[in-house]
Parts: sequence; C-alpha cells; structure tokens
Amino acid sequence: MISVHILIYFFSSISIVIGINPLAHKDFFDVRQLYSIKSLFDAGVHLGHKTGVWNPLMKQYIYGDRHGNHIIDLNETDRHLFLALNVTSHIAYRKGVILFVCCRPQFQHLVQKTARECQEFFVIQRWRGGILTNAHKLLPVPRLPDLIIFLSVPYNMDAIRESAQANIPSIGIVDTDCNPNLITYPIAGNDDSLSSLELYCRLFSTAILNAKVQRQNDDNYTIDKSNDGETPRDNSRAEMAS
Amino acid sequence: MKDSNFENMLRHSKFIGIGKPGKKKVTGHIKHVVGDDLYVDFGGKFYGVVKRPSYAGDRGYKLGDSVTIRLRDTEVTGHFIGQSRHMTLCEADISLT
Repeated sequence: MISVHILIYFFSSISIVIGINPLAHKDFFDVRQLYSIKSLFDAGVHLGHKTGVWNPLMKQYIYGDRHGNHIIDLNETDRHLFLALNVTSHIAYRKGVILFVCCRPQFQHLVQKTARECQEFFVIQRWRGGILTNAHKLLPVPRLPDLIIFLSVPYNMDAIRESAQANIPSIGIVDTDCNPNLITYPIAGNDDSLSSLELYCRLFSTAILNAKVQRQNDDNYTIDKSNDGETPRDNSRAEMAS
Repeated sequence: MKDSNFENMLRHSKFIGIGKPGKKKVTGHIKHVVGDDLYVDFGGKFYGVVKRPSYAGDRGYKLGDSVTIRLRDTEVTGHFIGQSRHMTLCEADISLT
C-alpha cells in the first residue's frame, strides 16, 4: 500500500511538471498501432499444442480445437497483449528496470539481442534460484527489476514463482500447456515458433524504445520551459492544488 | 474489416484448408542442419525433423533448400501410463518424398 502511494505521488509530481497525465489516456504510447490481429495471425500466434498437452487453466484463452490441435483465441490475445504493451511502456516511461527472461536455448540469442537493442537486462542462461528473493546476498547492487518479461514460461517456472514472491509484476507468453496463474499479465499465444517469438520481441522492444523517446522529449520540454526566462514555476503549490 | 476478423482469417487459412495432416504433401524450407538431421519449416507450429537420406550425399539438402515433405502429424505427443497429461517432443512428424 505504501509503495502504491509513493508511486502515485511520484507520478503526480511528474505529470504536473510536464502538464500531461499519461495514465489518464487509454493508449498514451499508441501501442495499438504496433500490431494488428492479422500480424499476430501471420506469425502463427494462434497455433496451440495438441489437446492432450493442455493445461485446463488455459481454457478461457482457447478458441477451440482442430483435429486435435488447440487454437488460441486471438481476440483474447489482442486484449492481453495490448494491456501488457501498455504496462511495459508506462514502466519504461517512468525509468523502470525491465528484465527479459528466456532460458530456452532455441531463442536465447534472439532475446539477448532484443534486450540489448532497447538497453534493458536479460537472463538467458540458467535462472539462479533466489536471485530475487535473496538479492541482498547474491547481487552486488540490490536493485530489483520493476517488470519481468517471460518469453518461455515452462522453462522458467521457478523464476515466475520467485517474481510473484518478490512482488514484481510479470508478463508471460503462455501457450496452451502453461500455467498462467502466477503471471500478472499473461498473454496467450504460441511460444514455440521462431516467427511468433520474433514478433513478441519486436513489439516489446519497440514499445520500450518509444516510451523512452517520449520520456526524453518530455524531459527536454520541461527543461526548455524552465529555462526560457519566464517566471519560475511553483511546483509545490501546483501539487497542493491537485 | 473482414480481413482483420480472427474467425474469418482462421476459416480461410491453409491450416484449416489442409484438414487432417494424414500424409498430405506440403512444401517447406530447411531451416537448420544439425549433423544428418534436417529441420524443415512448413509453416506450422513446430519444425519437422528428418534424417538426410543416405543417397543425397553431402551435396543435397542444404540450408535454405525448398523441400517437399509428407506431413504425418503437426506435433509428436505421447502418453505414459499413469500420467494425466501428454508430453510433447516439440517437433512435427514428417518424411521426405
């Protein structure tokens, strides 16, 4: 509760300085423009596993089955992906630390490249147990990430459990064989094909980079306004008024 | 509007059009070559894995080649007695034609 208040306070002070409230917009960073249902479909995001492999908890995201193959409902995926990209953008905008986790050997290189592109962090080798819950002993700097993006959920169940214990919001691509329960923002979708993984990586990296550019622009704008010789702005009064 | 509708796209997709995989002939591309194993991408969820035929020698079936395959199943899954869920090999069941 305390952290929420601090966040709100932090946020309200920024918004007053720059004169806009990003959280008041439904789609402040235009993440809706980044993808369409057609692009998801072309990347094979709707392809699920065989019906025998499924996790019944995924039932709400499944459209149906075709000759024993589950099909994921892209309308649901669209809704969740939009939410997740929006959250990612807002966290990147507020200078949060974002961590990509994907310990599946097939996609290690892709995830590493994506994280480096948008200047964020990644774990692609084995997840060391306790790196979040025992951070003060294991890490030189006890700064935990503000958001963790899991790109291969079945390979990282221990990491997901840990992020839930450490109260860190998580985004996960959940296929029809995954358990979505401990993930804050699950996105139902194919996590086995290279084409869909490339799409997710592109979307997340674009969302993060856009938010960072936006932040840069807003910071510059504030600096310019305060240095243009007008009367200095009284932030404390503005905060009280809000 | 019609194109962006998921139900419509699914109905007119090749995945639905092909029906049951049962030994249908499809075209794919070789995406990886590991030793004698060829990983063929035919547009499904998983790559199909086949051994390079002995008659091909070292010259045939290179990376990026287009190949015609028979698709037996889009995913190899199995079930052990006593388990409630199937397990998957994460590959498709194919053979070269």
